[in-house]
Amino acid sequence: MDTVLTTDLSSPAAEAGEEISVERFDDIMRQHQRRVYRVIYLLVRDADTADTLTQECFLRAYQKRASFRGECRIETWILRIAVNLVRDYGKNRRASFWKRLVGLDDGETADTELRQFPAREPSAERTLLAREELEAVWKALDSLSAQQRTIFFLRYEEEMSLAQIADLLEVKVGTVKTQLSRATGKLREMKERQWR
Amino acid sequence: MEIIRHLSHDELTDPVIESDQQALRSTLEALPEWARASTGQPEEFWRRQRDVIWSRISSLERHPRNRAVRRPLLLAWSVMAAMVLLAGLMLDRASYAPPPKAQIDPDHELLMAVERAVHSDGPAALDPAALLAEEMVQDLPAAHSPIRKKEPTHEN
Repeated sequence: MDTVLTTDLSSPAAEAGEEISVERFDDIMRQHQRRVYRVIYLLVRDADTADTLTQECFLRAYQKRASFRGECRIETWILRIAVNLVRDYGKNRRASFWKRLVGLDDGETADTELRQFPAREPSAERTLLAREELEAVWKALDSLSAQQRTIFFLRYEEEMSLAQIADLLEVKVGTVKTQLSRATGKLREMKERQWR
Repeated sequence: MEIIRHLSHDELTDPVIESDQQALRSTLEALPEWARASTGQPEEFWRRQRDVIWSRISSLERHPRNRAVRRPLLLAWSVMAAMVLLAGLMLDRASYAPPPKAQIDPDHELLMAVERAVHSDGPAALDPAALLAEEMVQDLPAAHSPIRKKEPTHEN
């Protein structure tokens, strides 16, 4: 577990206090697009949605780049945009569900907006196995809040420290710990049930 | 462990998390690998994604409805609307100015005070007299009635 806790998130592209030029933005995008996509994918559990939200994330980052003054690492800033987008996406999905339920929406809009690209080729066996394992984790964490799941994945998948997560989500470290303990507890509960 | 888990004290969450991490060691250690394998895409995918982002950025910048262009216009319109509203309010106030108060005539005031005193009830000390007067008035029609009351005789 020690390696999990000591991963350095520093980025050569993130130099505090510098305004991001258009040229530099392309470098930033190349450097972080995989990570942003991965975090979003873990939170929304859908490849196409993750793709669209990643695009949206960088679009917003570009629009807001003048407001970035190096108060935090550039990847923290970008991941914050990504996490907020996922939160908004969740809210919109719930709103869309209720609209469909009462007949105000035909259910096409949200899907067509998010599915701009066709599904990709079938994954390799390794990918499938990994997805199965991930599915089990997702299932165990299903009953948790979106924030608890986010904290869990940022901690154990993205290997971020508690302080970095607190900074990213703009909450206290104590809150991160409490939420994390609920998430790990839930996963442990599920694992123990499997072993019995 | 369950009892400790329900205690929300900050110091207690550390051992709880540590214990969970130990129990879930294999899963938590494999999680990054699972995530990377699940989200692994060919270079073509990332290149296409960047192209789409840049094309969306350039279309946003070309678009006439760009916020940067709209903002000063919006501000100008807001200021103008505020000024029109302010002018309207000032005009409205001017047209509804209260009429000047009438001059007070002291003689008229005195006359009114006297009239109020005349119409007001008399002092409490005069209440018995008023009652007596009222009774007398009530008896008056009976005394003047054409049907005379039979007077008590004192023949016996």
